[in-house]
Amino acid sequence: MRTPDERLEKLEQALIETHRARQMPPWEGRWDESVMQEIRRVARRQPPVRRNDDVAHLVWRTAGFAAALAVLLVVLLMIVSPKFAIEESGLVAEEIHLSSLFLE
Amino acid sequence: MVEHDYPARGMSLETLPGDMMAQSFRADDELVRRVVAGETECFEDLMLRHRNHVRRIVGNHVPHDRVAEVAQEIFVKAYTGLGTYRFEEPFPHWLATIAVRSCYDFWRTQQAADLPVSALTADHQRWIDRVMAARSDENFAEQARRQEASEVLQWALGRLSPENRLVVTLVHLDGHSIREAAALLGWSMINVKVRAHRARRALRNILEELETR
Repeated sequence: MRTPDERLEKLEQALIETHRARQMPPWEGRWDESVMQEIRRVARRQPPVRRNDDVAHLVWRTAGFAAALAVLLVVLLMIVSPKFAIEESGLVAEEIHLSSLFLE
Repeated sequence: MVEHDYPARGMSLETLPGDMMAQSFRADDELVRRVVAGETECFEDLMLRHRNHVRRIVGNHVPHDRVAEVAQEIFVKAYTGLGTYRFEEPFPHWLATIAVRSCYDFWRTQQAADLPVSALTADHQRWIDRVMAARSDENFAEQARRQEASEVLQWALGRLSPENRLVVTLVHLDGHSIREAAALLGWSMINVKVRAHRARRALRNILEELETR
């Protein structure tokens, strides 16, 4: 007596065999011609164009490199002169204070 | 002209003589360059070289009466997309990815059919009983070739979602590895592995329902 799992396994195996034993239907006589007619029709309005992806890659790589360099420079600047950040924030606070005086 | 006739299981181009394959791939690339340069008629050579390859893939996924139509769509897609072929992989591999994804699109656009167990007849039930009773390999193989077997398989696959159907067909029925299936589908290997596991469980649930009715 088989277990339910074994029975399922057997049924599954039979279906796999069925799939692999499938016979392909023969090509219809004018299939090739029909495909080429369609290709010619497409070619008249939309021929395949070689995309110049190399230029786009170069532009994106350069932009990425420039952005990474800018971040690196800012970080380096902050490490080399720790006062930079404090002074900058002090200046901004001063600006805010002055602007509130003008509003009054 | 070399007309490719690859084995059905796996991307086993490697099993054919290396020199012949390399030569054939170079010929494909040359034809692609000529088509892109404006020699549209060269596409016919490409199509004739690879039509059996495409037909085998499509025939494994869609009903036989729709194979010609889907195969034509694949060659039109291949033609319009030739500009994106980058010569880094063999042309038949590139074409296979278009074919598999077109089969997926085919099932996504089909209306989900209502397929209750009652749609199967007494003949199908008798076939299941015979499979269970088959004792020899010969008898088993004979049962697998019967018309009822094909109908039960199509019924079971028809109850799966398009994604599950595609993965079950590629991995479990065709015998592609996870890596090959991932390359054909453009999905990650993890995604295919998880999907294959779930899809097989879904298929087993369907078969269980069938077997215990």
